Amino acid sequence: MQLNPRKLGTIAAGLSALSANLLSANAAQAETVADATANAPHAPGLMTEGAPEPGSFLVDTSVLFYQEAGGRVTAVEPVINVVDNLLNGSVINGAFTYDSLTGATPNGATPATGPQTFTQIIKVATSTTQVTSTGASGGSTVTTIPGTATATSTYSTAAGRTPLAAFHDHRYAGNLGFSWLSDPDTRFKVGAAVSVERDYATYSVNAGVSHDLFQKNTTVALSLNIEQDESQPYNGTPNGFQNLNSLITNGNDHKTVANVVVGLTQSLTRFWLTQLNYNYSTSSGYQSDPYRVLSVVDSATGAALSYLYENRPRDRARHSVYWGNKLTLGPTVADVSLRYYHDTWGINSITAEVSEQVPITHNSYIKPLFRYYHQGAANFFRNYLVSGATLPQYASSDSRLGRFNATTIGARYGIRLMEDSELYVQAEDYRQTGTHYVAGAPGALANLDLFSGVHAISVMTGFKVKM
Amino acid sequence: MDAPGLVGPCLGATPFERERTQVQTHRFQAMGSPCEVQVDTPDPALGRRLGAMAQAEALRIEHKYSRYRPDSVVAAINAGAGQPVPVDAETASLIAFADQCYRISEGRFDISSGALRRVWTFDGSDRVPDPAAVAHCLLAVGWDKAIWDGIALTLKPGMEIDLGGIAKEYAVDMALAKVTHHHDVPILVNFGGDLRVSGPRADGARWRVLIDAIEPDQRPAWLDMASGAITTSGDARRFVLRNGVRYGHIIDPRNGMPVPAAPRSITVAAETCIEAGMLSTLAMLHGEQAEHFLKTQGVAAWVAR
Repeated sequence: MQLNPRKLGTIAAGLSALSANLLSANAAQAETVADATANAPHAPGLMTEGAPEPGSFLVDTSVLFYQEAGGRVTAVEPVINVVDNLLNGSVINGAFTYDSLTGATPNGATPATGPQTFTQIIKVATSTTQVTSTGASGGSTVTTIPGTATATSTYSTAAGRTPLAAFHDHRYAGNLGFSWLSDPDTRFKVGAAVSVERDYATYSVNAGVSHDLFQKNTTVALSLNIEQDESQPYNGTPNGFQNLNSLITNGNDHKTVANVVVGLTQSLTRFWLTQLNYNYSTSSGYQSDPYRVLSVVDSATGAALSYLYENRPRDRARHSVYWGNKLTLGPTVADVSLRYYHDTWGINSITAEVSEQVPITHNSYIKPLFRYYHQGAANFFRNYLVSGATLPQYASSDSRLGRFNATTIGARYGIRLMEDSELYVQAEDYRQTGTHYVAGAPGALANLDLFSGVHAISVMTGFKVKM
Repeated sequence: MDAPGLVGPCLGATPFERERTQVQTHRFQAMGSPCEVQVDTPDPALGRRLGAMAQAEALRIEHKYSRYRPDSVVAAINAGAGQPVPVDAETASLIAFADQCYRISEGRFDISSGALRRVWTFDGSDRVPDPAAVAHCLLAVGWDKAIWDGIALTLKPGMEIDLGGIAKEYAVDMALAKVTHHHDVPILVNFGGDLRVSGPRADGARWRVLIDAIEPDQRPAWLDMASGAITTSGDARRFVLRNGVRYGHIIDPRNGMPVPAAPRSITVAAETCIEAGMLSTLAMLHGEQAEHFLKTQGVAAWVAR
């Protein structure tokens, strides 16, 4: 017998709604085998791709807003990332980024009890152009030197303030990668990346192989990366310890970086995945900051007498060991990692990070994050140079080469909007802490804040969709 | 709608006999049943590819929810021995679904009732279990004895769950979603008689599905479908006959006894396979009242007694 369809009864209507809910919640999720990790695409260092699903196409777009406290750097960075998982197991991925950076960064000089004026010789497009721009630390004036393609540029900093130099830049960056399975357990990958700013360009190529063992419970991986950087400072590349107020005669310079990573990923239990990586890199070439100076201070008063461009070694070798863990505890996914780093400039650092993804409802989650970082100073780090003392072989006052601690507190919130898409917002507060007052500094410097570390807030919002 | 192996292929899906376009058929065995995926395309490579995709999804779900695999999620839950077992998001949503079904069916549908099938052997013989054995078995049956907090499931020691009653239909829906996600070619997914189509065929026609005869002398019926899913619950081949009483294999978990006067088979049409499967199972559990239940619920159904 056939029963004629009519308006659904309560049980049938309830089942209809329940079924629709169940299927819409899982249709997207079932696409990855490791379903508990499906919502963790940015888990650093671990299984970032999950199990790539043949025949799927992923697009992830996001915008990052970055703001440093004290009117320093502001950046806006839109990113689009595309992954095409082909049916034969090959994966094509590409990403494109455009950055816009404005603001001011410490120029490397120490603060002083009175206002300071920085004068430098810059190149101008034509000898008759006069340019005026405004920097965060006060007006900057450019005066052309008649009959030459150069000009003197001056800017000043108020008493007691960390001297900052204004800048504005754009960066375009893109990368392209291709990976394929040579047999079901072995994946090869090749890739290339380019990043171009007005005064800096980076080109790199990479290749790697990963191999699964013991029914995919163990993965060993090896990858190599070669990078060539072109530094094209606006006014040329200064010599080490060249006076700020002098004509720079050198043009562009470059740097070459080679990097190798060996990694082991092991699933210890169904709930625990661990990864151990060793990373070695060597770089040679120009590694100084062409806009950064050191104050040469009077040994008695601490007053700045002149400013010299910094000078860093041309060679650097880095080692790091990373240990990451992904723990699935019911519906939550925890990431716990440690990293130890050492380089031949004398910097040692450790990073510890914990984050945990916790579902809120069946289609949203929150992922709090905490990261602690500590580093010791490079052996040539100096807050300033002292007049009359022997000039060291190398020196830089870049706070990133000094001793400091940094903590990051953040959270990510993600919500599934449609069957296969996620909207996410991630916010982080990053704060560097270090020594502000240097005991025994000459004269007035002992009472001036010499720490120029940053406090920054970043907010990233993005949307990803699988097609 | 039933544990793997309990229901034979009641439905044989075949495309309309008149050859209009070629249909690529991919066949495999999963969840104790013959499975097939029909792809309405003249391209055999595309048929194989999409068929393999649906098969992969069927095997994933079978692997994950099989009661018989020691490494399945269900085995992990059943091994919990009174301890809370946290589950992943997909499993949580299935358990939540089963939990709701238990409530709206007033206890008739119960994923913890699997143990009852072991005291009842439906082989056409006259072996009816001792009432004491049934009563003993009922001590470890009853979803109300489990603790489900949305994240972890705690079963009483000795208690077991079996998602076989929903996994096959769920697999059909998921396999169809997966394939249609990647390609818009019309397909029909049929796992052991639970089937769903993605929409009309490429030329706009309906899919023709044969419904097997219940008794050898009955003629097969056919059904044309352009959308949705159909499933069949039935005891056509599984029963115990004692003193002229036919005990069907649909057991009421509330008393541990086969549902009296249940129809031989119920075929239900609905939007999704899991919905159709649950409706046909619930209708079967209403026994004598099956037609009344289907009528009051306004469900499109075919009942054979």
